[in-house]
Amino acid sequence: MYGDSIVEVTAFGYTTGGKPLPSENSKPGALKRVLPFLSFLSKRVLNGVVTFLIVTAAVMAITLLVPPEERARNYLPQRLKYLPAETIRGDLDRAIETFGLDDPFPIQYTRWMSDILKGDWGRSPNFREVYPAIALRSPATLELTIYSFLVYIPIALFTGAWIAWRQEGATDVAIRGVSYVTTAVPPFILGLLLITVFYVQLGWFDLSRIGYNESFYIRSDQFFTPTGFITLDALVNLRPDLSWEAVRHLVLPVITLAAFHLASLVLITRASVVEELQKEYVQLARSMGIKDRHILFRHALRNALLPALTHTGLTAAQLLTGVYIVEVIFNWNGVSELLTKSVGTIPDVPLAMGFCVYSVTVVLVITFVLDAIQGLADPRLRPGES
Amino acid sequence: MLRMFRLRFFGDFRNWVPFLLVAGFFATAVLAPIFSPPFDPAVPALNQVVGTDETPKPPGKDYGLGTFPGGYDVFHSLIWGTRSALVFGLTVALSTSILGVLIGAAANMIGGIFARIGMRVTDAFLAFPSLAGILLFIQVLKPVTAGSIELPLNEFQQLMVDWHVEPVVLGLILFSWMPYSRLTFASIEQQKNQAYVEAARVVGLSNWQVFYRHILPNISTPIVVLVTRDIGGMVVLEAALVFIGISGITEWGVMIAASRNWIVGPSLGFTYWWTFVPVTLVLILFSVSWQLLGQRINEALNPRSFSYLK
Repeated sequence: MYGDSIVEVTAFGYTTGGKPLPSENSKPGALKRVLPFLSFLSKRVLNGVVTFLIVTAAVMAITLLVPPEERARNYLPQRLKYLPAETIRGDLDRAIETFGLDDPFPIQYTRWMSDILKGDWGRSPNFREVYPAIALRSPATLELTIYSFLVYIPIALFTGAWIAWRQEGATDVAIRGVSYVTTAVPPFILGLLLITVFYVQLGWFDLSRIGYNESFYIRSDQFFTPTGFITLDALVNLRPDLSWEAVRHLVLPVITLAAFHLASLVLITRASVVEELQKEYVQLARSMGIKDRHILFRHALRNALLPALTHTGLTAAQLLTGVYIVEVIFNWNGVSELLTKSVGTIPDVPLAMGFCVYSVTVVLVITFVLDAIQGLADPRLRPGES
Repeated sequence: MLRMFRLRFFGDFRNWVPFLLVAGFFATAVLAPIFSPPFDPAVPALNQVVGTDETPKPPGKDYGLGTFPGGYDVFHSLIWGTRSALVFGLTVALSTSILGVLIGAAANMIGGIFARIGMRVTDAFLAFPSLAGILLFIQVLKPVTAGSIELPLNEFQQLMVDWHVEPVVLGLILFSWMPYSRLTFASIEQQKNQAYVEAARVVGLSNWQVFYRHILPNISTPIVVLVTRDIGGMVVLEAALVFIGISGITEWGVMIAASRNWIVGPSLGFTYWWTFVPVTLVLILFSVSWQLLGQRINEALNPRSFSYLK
């Protein structure tokens, strides 16, 4: 790495010897430059696929804990009250045979996986087809999740680096104290408090995804929905006022979700930036007269990004759990609607399985995006440098 | 070791705060019949009816912190809820940690392909939102009726019924052991090449003996800290599950869920504050005290460790 930066010094016909000056021609080709990054990404994708297979195998194993008769029950109609016992028993046996419910684990798992890939996620007694039920509510959940990430990660990285620079100052102590308290307040209680103050008392923000009057227009055919995110779709439909309305509805749930993760990410970023600032390259940069904010944000923070993003990736699953809980609190009508409406007396295993597959997929995609960002920030993997 | 810990822990007055708080919660749980005597000592209930009103009544003479709709005494539920919270937190956190430590230790001690598979599975489970896992257990273990015929239970279901295991508890344990497994694996990796481990091997101890007699005491600090923090965290998570309506184990969670309609409603504000504020404060205090206790234990046992709040 340092070898490249040593430039041959030529003076009065004498040279210091060593390597020739790097010229434009010696630059590696475009493919060669992006190759390390691509191989990094493909490794990550493979990793994600393996994770998906392990987790879905666990889901299948859990459903196989109960006897086949119980799973066959799902294929029969709900009301069996007036049927004779022999008929029901015969139907159960027939369902077991038809759908292979007592087959060994690998066979059932492969059958289920191929069904999932084909888009047949099974039928739920509460929502009919599982896949359309999830797909219909998915944009609401994704909108909330993505906006929380977009809000909390940049703020946390910036604040963490800033208070690491001003170590032990008043701002640092204050922000650390607040962060520490925030990590202790349960998100759903914070959500309740925010609703009480800003919705009930002050009336600044609203519950649910969009106002009652606007919801009819949103659901009508005139509203073109390429993304499913109301904030973006409204812009596509040239209705910035609706977009603003959607943002107003997003504020409280995003704050509730972001607060907890923001606090812990600030503390982690601060810790790793503090560690970086003690290293020699920072002293060197300072002695070279590089501006403070460049040292902090271009050098120290970039090197400290790895632990921060790793932590974010590891807590992505927790964040999704938080999203589901916040959705219920704020009447968000996302995927969590399936969860709350299916916990009645009727067992709904296909829905729960679909819910698990969906949640894991979302977490894996988030982790992949974070990995890609990490790869872009890592000079060893960045395209253009080998 | 323990004596040293006692001296170091109780030598610092800051350690007394979380210690006394947690001790206070235990005392409240044990002495609940004294703090809030039940009407019928033979059948103590988690909640006690002192009135018949459908609207919550403000704090008064007979009920120190007011009542819930239906006349439930808030103070009584708070005191007796400590029991359910402590039992729930301790059960779930301890089972989780035991499962995680066993998996991490087994993966590392057997080594080879098992280590790789074990850690791969651990990482895979980290991508699983625990709420989805809990929902799966709730749906799978829900009693099934099929008209006039009885479906027989298999061994697993019978076990669940005999041991009174709630699906929520099972889901929480099975989807939150991963940090323990990672921690144990990494800590053993650090200790593995130390002289004392080799000495124990030379003497002829088996892998398992080396682990629980020699390595486990040396790696227990971070695990104890994690368990301590999880006890509070699990109770808070369960309260959130009660709130969204898929569980009902801890009394505090049930109280917060019941208070929703008296806090979040048009033009209500904090008119019925006693349904919400006391139980929320107690829940936050519970979680904070366990968090702090974990942090203080960490510092007493491991002075070089990094601390957020110095």
